[in-house]
Amino acid sequence: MPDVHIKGYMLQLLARNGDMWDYEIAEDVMNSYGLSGDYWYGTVRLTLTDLYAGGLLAELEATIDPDKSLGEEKILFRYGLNDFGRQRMQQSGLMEVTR
Amino acid sequence: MTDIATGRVSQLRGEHRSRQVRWGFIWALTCAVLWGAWYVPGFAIYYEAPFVDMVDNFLLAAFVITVLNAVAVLIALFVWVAVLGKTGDYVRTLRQTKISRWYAPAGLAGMLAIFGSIIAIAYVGAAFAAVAALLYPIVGAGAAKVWYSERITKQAALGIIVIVSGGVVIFTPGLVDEFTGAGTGGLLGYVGGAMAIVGWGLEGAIAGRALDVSDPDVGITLRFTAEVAIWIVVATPIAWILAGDELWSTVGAALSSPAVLLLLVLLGMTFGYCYVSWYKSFPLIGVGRGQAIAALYGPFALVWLTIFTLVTPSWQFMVGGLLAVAGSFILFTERRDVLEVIRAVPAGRARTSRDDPSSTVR
Repeated sequence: MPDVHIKGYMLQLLARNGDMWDYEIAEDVMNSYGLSGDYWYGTVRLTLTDLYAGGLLAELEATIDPDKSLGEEKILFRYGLNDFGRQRMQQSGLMEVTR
Repeated sequence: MTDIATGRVSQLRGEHRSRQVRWGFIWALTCAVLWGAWYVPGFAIYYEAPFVDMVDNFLLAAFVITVLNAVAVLIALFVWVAVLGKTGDYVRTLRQTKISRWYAPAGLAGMLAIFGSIIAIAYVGAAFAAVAALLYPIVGAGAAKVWYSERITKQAALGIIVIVSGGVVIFTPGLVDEFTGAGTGGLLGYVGGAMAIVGWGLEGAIAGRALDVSDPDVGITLRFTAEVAIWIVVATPIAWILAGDELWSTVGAALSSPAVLLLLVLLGMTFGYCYVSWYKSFPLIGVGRGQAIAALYGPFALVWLTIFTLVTPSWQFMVGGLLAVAGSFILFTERRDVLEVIRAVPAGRARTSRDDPSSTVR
């Protein structure tokens, strides 16, 4: 399990992998922290919404793909870290130097 | 993707982002309702033993109540975090000292605001203290705008000012009497009022900064961990020196009273969950708007106190209440694309799947 908290881990994930779809981020977070179920899926999406509203992430693309959202017609977002997000990560000691 | 599918994506996207903003306002309003409700046990506790007999020792009574209130809030928040399954994340966030350290000044600013309010009540009056505390969104919005470019548009600034004026109008009847009757201790009371305005305003701005990189439920719990630590490590020894052993006899008497314990549970839950809602609203709609809507606690406090005491509020209450509601609508009816990303940073939303790029790039 990662040492860093979930919101920090999500930022690091985006810094490492570049752009990602929200369901990919949720899947990675749930696998890494040993979590499962709709509640945690929703929690990750909500955290992404916080990060987007705060201006740390850019929304790059939106789509509908029921296969990726448990058969429901749900909007899915592809997010990427922007300069402000990177700056906040550096200020908070979240930017990994070596990897 | 067909045009119909693109239209559907666009529609769902719009609904999702609207919901994001709406929830920001819902959380801030929840905070206002609970903050207002907090005043009922908050007043009632002064009428219970041992505090009811401490009229000539008001500051000690207020100190003990404030510390016990903070401890009760922290317990309520630990329960909240555990129920949400975020206790592990609390520990992990605490260990990220470059993040968790921000909650110490936030807690300190908040506790100075609470203490300032108490001094204002003691030396000027409750109405003055309430008005002073209601002005804090002006400081919070200003600090957030200057510090990290939060989008405070003209409409938002107008909404904030209208809500705050509504709050001030509500408390005018008591205010005039208090100013004329403040006497020699008045100056200290005004300093306390200023502490409330600056303290809560800055707390919000600092919290807004820390919440960029941490979870609101965990963040508020860290903030109260810091506050309780400061009360116990710094403030309690000072109070012990000033008040002597009466401090401990008061704490002992308070904790052995079932009525006080029940009131502490109510205080912890109303204040704790009001603060949770406050912190949850900041990332979604920003510190300025979140604080302004939360300042509706003024009208709500009077509504709750009216329900419980059956004392009819004055006409100023009606006028002030209407102003506060009008101000909220000014904030809420702002264009959604202004509210979607609350910071003036380059590149919020880059492109929606196959939308017309020229209409979405900012």
